[in-house]
Amino acid sequence: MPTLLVDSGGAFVNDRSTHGEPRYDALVRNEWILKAYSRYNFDAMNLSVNELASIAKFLKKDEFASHTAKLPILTRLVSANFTAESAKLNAPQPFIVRGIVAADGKPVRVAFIGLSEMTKDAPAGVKITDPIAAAIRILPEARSNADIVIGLSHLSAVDAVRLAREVAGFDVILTGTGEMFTPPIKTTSTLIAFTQYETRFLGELRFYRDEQGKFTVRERYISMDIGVGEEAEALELVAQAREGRVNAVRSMQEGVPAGNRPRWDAATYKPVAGEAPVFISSQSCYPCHAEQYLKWANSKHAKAADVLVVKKEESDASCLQCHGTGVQKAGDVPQLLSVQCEQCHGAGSLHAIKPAKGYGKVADVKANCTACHNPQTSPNFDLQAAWLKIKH
Amino acid sequence: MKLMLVILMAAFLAFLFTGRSGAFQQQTEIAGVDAPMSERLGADDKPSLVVHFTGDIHGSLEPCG
Repeated sequence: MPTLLVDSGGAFVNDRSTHGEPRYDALVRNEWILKAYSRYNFDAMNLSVNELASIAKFLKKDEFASHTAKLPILTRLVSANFTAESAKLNAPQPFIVRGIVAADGKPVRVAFIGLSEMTKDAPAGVKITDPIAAAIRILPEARSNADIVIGLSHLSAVDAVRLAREVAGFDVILTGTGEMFTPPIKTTSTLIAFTQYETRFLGELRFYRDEQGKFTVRERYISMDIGVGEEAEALELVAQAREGRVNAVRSMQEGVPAGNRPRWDAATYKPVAGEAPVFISSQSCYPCHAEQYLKWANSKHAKAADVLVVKKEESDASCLQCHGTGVQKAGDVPQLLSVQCEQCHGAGSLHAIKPAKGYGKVADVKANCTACHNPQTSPNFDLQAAWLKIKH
Repeated sequence: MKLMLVILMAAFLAFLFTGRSGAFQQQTEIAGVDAPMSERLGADDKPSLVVHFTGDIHGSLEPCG
């Protein structure tokens, strides 16, 4: 049977940090979803609220071509009510038309219009507008380009019914509500079929074309329990995704084992020729830079990890990217708790052994500060005022 | 009296169950848990095309139970 395969949204896990950014392990898991959907040639993927935080990374204009080369599903994302407020982001297309040769040998064009529930919690640079207004705006164009129009949505049952009533022209509205099992609803002209919880049942729409070329549709659901069997390649992909997720969680827990580092003593430490400097903590700065040390010790930077300790997240490397010290480039594992002298000045072991001018100059104060004090984490951050507090 | 209540309750539940089940099956074909593969694939009633749809997998490629 000629078949199309689509996702109505909620494909991503939406685990976010305290500051609202996607957690590293969530990003890894979600990238595996994109890999799987690319591998199995999904024809369309709707963006729901769940996807917004993670998908922004893949929609950056300057990286979009390289991402789509690896993850072709990115070219088949749909959302009619996603607005990119940031000029740096690509907005997904409002609808996609997939052409297919039907069983009778004649071509059929199926339009999928993406629609998401609204949210007040959209990440920076993204806005979700009213789905019904978006559908009213987009549907005529989709209709003129397709034989069948399907709303691919993530809406409550009530909103899906409202959509069907207020926007004429949908043949089918597919929607995910996150509920266990919701039976379909038929209005006079539109079938509303619900994606079942976690796709424990695969949804199927069968379209039949009569002699006048008019389509009718009926829906089926297929249990995806163990009786379906496993495909070897899919099993391998699932195993790789599991390993990626485990490694991501492990890497997040590789931050500072409290009280366990650094073990460093200027008197006994013998650097090897060509060795890169290591992080040695603000305690090592004190003998020569007591005034600066005291200013730091009484600053919020010196206590930046306290909040993590309270939450038992002091080993979470993703939090320590900003609440710890030892990150000089993305992906570094933090070495020290709280924001210590070396977070701005660089790893200082070699300077401590052989003090000399040239170490520690901060080339770009603004870039250094705003790497962590960004609009999400510090919406009221005033660089000038903050700089005056720590200037030394 | 107790027996009457039990009978009434049983009749009410039977009505609820058969009523919902019957209406549901009229609308939607479901190949349920442990259904044989032939039932999952369904009869070949010559559709022009098929759309399979998924959703809400929440970052997991694995079944959760």
